[in-house]
Amino acid sequence: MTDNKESQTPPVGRYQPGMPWNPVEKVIFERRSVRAFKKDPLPDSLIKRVLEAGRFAPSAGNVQPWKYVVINDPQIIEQMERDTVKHTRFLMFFLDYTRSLLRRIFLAPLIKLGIRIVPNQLHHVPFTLMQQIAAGKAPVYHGAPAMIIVMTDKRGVGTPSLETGICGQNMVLTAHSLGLGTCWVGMIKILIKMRKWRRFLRIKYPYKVTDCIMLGYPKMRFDGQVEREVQLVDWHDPSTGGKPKTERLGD
Amino acid sequence: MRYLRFLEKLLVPNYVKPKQILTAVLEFDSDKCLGCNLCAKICPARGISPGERKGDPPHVIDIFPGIPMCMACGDCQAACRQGAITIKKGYQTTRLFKRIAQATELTRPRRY
Repeated sequence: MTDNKESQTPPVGRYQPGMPWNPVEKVIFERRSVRAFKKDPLPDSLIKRVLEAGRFAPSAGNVQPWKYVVINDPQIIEQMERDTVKHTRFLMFFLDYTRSLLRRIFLAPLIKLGIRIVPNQLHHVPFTLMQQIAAGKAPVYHGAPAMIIVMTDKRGVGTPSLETGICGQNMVLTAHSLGLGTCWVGMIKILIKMRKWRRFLRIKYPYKVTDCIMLGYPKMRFDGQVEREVQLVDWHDPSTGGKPKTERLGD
Repeated sequence: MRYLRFLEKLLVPNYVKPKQILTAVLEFDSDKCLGCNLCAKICPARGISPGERKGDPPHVIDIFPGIPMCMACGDCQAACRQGAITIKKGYQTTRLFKRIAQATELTRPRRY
């Protein structure tokens, strides 16, 4: 074929080494989390189109261990924002050992022990984000007009949270392919520590919530290619014998 | 690749010590920069501040002395139409949260 490689978008379903991205790959490689949305509301049909992609996500035993909640009301999201900030301030009052010298000396060892016990929520990145939220410098839900919550059914086969994630990412990629912007927000974990929100969102057995997806029209075109760390892969194949070689993916 | 040593598994890095939290380093090319400050608006951490005087390129603010508030997400690099932003070094923590399966070099998606 003597086509100009740079201008052709290959059809989905075939592979040639070095070929340009097909439409699916393009959505995957250019997806960026969007944190600035237009206020325009989303039509119901568009939200449903995004949800449909999640309905067809794979799951162990096809048990589909998820439940969708759609919040298509900016006022509710604003209330969630206010309450999340308030509760984050409350939590950080106890957790933030960096605030003063006294805290750095006396509180730090205790908090670091706590971080060692629950490292996922208190890793440097969410810790810093919570500091910024408590200080009013970072928004939680980014002013998005709509939110999708995919709840996990704890009774699911295997690892139901994983499947909720797969379902959610199906929705994210579909949303980006339709020109929408999305952002996964894990800080909703703080909101649901409040009983009133657990009641409002009907989060009770067998469901749990870990993350939500903010949805809306992006304020400008955010999607595009970026750089990312080279991934080190343990590569096993007949040539390596017993011990895998370390492949530098992306190098 | 080496997994974590015993002490690394045990200890948590201190979030105010620059030697234990190696946040990302960005470089702003003042020749290419137009001063539009799109990067400052886009940064999810709100970590980029416009230059002090008109014509100065933006810079990354410090959360604590010596710790720039940047984790090399690449949003600013993707947004800058002049290509004025380079990521000189990615985000790395030490001790418990040390990166094991990623190298420090950052690359664009490769078309294998």
